Amino acid sequence: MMHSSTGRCGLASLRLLSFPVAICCFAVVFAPVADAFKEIRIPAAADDKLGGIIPVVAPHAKVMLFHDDLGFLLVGEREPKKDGTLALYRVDGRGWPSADPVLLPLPKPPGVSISYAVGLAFHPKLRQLYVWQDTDMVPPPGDEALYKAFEHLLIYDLSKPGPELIYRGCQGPQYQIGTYLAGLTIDSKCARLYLPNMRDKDAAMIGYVALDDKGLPLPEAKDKDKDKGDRARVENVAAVSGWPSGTSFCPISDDVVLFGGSYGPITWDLKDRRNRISSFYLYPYANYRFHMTVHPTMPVFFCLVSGQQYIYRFQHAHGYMTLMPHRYLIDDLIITSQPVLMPLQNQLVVAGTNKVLFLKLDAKGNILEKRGQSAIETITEPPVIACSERWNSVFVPVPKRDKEKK
Amino acid sequence: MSWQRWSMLPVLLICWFGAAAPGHAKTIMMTDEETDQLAAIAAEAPRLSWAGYESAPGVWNISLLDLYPNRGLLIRFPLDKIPRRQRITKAEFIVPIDYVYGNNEARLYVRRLLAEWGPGVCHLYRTTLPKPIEWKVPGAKGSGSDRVARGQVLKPVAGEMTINVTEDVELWYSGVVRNHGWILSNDDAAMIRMGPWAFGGRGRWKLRITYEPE
Repeated sequence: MMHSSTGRCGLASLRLLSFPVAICCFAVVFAPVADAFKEIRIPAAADDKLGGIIPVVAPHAKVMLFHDDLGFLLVGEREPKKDGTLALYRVDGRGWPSADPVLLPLPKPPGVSISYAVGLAFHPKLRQLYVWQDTDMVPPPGDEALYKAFEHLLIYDLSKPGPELIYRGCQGPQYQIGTYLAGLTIDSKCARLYLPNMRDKDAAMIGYVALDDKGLPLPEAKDKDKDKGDRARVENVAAVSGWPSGTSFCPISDDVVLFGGSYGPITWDLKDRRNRISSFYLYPYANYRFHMTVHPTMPVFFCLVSGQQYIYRFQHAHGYMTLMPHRYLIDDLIITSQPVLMPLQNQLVVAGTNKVLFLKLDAKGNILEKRGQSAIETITEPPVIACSERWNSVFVPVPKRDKEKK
Repeated sequence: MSWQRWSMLPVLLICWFGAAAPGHAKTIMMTDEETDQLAAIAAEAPRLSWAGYESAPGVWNISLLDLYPNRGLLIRFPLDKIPRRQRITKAEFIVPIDYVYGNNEARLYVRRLLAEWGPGVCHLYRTTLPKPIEWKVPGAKGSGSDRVARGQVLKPVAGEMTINVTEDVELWYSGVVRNHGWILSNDDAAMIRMGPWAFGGRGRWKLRITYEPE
């Protein structure tokens, strides 16, 4: 690299002035611009070695869910071209999962060798677990029999020492086969089970089944006698754009639900036909990649696209997205987990390869710049996480047991 | 520290002292990425803040911004980038128009908003948080209350349309009236497809302001 000697000599007399003046110029030129940016950067930080990270050996984990009151951790694993597993762990007094989980059955029709859990939900009041399972797609015409026979919804009673499968249903051509994730959610009144991954001919659909007071789907009226009540009555179905999908169903009220679609977050108004579906498109659009979590007390929700460095903070008014979202750029982490809110700690937890991030929120639900993080060897698959408010801990799937913990 | 690092110092000093010199005009450009409030409202979807494009009856998204009659685009740029004690000499609002459907009578109306609006803004309400506050006339159509009685009426043409908004920006900057932004509407039987704010289309809406010390 060459520099002119005249330039160097010319600057010599300004030696004492140069640094402060340059700083002033930099500040004047750049400071106002930085303030106006919508994008907010969360800078990299050193590993805090925070406690509360609980490794769970699950090399092919795809879904995880923890119930604070029951102390149950569910881990669904799926290895390509192999049958999946769904493990139920009970946690001990310290919040650590037992070493001997119970494997829950994932029943499949004759001739089908593979099934795996793609969505999990606990009943808000009853000791019941809801599982949405799926299987690999087969090409036509064999798919017709598969659609007819494969039961997607499984309900387990967890009130007894041994979990018991008490319901299996939701089969038929209206449920897409070969999906990756399913945002299964029960509303706070325990009256509706929101269903993803539905279809009607070429259209992607979402809907819900009404639940009775035992938490079981109401049967389809017209087939009640013929089907002995095992066909769930699907209500209030809505068409959405893209491939049949649906993640992170978040009921805001009886009539308005937020969820992740193929192009971004979607508001579904169950009653008002004029604004039934309202989508906010984000790049890049991708099925099953939009994960959301709604703050329980503030009118905000967080959305991320798995595989990116961004977290979007949306405002919503009674479930309707409003104003432009803030976009947070997380330095040095490709986020692959779903976002999990821990309201008691007022923090948002996300994970990527070998790292878990703890992002504190302010009183308005904005993400604060200073972040906490812990390093942990995660699985190479996009890791999922589950959080416990009670033990202030995060369950993270790992490929093998840590030697120190053996 | 090496002198090579400071080889650009004369340029910086010229910029520094030049910008501060009396009578020196400066121009700033903001895009829709730097707005602090945006919304697309529609009578057909009276509760939505993001009623940009109706792909099927009752199904809305923001991949496009279609301006039909009874719809409005609300946009507010903060003016805090402009230093104090300046005089606005020129302000231009540059809006992207992708298509104009309809007859030659299509007109784009740009009006200054008079009422404060915020979270939950929609056709019926100017905000719904923490409690709903209605527009005087739904769709921010209250003349002299929701928006100014007379705005600019322009013939839309596909491409970048530059609108002189010096008077509006001067009013806001001087504090004579509060900056609640503009509403763009189409009151005639036509459709104007504006460049979208999201989904890869951001940054096309611009506000260029030239000012100089008083």
